[in-house]
Amino acid sequence: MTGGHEHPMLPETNHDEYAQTRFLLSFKNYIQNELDPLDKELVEKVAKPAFEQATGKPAQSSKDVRSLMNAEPFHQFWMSSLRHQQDLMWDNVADSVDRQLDELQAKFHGNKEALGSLRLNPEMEIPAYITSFDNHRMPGSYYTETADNDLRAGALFDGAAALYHVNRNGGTMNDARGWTLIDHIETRFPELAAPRRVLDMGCCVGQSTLTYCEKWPDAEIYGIDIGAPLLRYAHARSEALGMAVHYSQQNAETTDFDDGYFDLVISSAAIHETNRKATQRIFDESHRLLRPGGVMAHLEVPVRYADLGIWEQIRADWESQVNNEPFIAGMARLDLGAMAEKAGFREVAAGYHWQVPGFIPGKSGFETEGGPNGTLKIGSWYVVSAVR
Amino acid sequence: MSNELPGPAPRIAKGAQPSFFEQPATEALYGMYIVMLEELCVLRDRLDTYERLGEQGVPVTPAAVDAFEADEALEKHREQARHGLINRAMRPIKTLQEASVKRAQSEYEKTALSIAEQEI
Repeated sequence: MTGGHEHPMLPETNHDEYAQTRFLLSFKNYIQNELDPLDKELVEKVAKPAFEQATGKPAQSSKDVRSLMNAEPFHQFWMSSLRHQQDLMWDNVADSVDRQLDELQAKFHGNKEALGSLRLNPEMEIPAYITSFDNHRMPGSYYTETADNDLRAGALFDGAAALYHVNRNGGTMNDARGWTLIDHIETRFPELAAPRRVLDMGCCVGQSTLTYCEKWPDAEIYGIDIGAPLLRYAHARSEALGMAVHYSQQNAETTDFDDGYFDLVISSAAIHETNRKATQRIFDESHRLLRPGGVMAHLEVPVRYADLGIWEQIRADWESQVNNEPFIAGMARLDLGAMAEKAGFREVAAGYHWQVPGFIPGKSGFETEGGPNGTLKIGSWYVVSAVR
Repeated sequence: MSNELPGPAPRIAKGAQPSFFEQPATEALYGMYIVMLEELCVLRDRLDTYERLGEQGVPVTPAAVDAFEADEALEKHREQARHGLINRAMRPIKTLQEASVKRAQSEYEKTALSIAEQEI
């Protein structure tokens, strides 16, 4: 169901490109295992006492210690290490993708007998929360086209995804978020046993989308995203894996599907790339698209500022401010459950669902409390789900 | 705004181009340093592949190098070597952290001592 198997659309690596991926994984692990704890120690032993000495009160949030930490030479190298490994990852994968782009484009155009479908809309306005910066520092983002009928952005995203997630999101398939959502839906809404129509919002290259095809083979599976090159790649990838998905280029805030068309509306790590206003509109649209009794479930990164210690907030701030994911910090402070209720949903719950397949032994299911002692609940995803 | 017209593939992300150091040049130099560190690791793996091919009596050609697949034991050996190199390369940076923690600790002790020695 998941793991190391590859597919014909995935960019291949030659000897040195593979060696680059091994370096990036080693360096990411080194930062996480050996530099992160030292940076946290600086917060505890240097910045917190200095703040308290200067103000006479204990530090409450990352904001309190930010200027103290930013003046620390080790912290400067820590932030810069995260930034350069991220930029180097995209640069390496872009070299690899560009070397074989003609072959990948030919595979896409050679695929005429389609199981699913692809519907693009060149007139669709791409929202400013996407065009203002390149999310997670991916040059060109999801929508830049470098040729006619281009799929480069999709190949770049898919080629980098396993590296980005340090192989923890389902190996090269990167489908653990999809399986986690399925587990969440089965846990909270067992009565929705076999949805007939499923919509995956912000489906990107269809990494999670294909798990829904596998789980519910009789259902019609739809995926929408704003990026045409992503969707061309997603379509080619799904077809290469023998899965039928109906992809279309649409903004999840306002789609062209009929009222009540779906039994299940879901997304995987899409909300944090929008903004507060769009999030409410996406919840409203999810409500419009669902039949009565239908289910909405949006999965997100497990970052909630109220549950995090000061160093963990600093780490989330880096994602927000440096990794071009500015709404992570905003979303992580919003009451997503209240927003779902405002959209008209009932049986609303928001909390952490342990990843499937998991990598933290003995952890499974849905919980509302955060990690112990303000730590990030690594190995879980934050999910808000509800019934129409 | 509609989709961008076809053009060359961008290589620099739109958005924050931060400099975390007092001097922006340090940021640039550190970026170069990480690239060199990666290339050194890649070259070591490539050299190791040459040696393994030599052991097997396989002529070293670009195709033979690309076709070579490391087994699990070799992957682990290379991972350990990479970790060692990264650790040596990062040691001066870790030293900066140790110095800050020690300085804060001694300042704390100085303050505690001065409070303790004050006459009540």
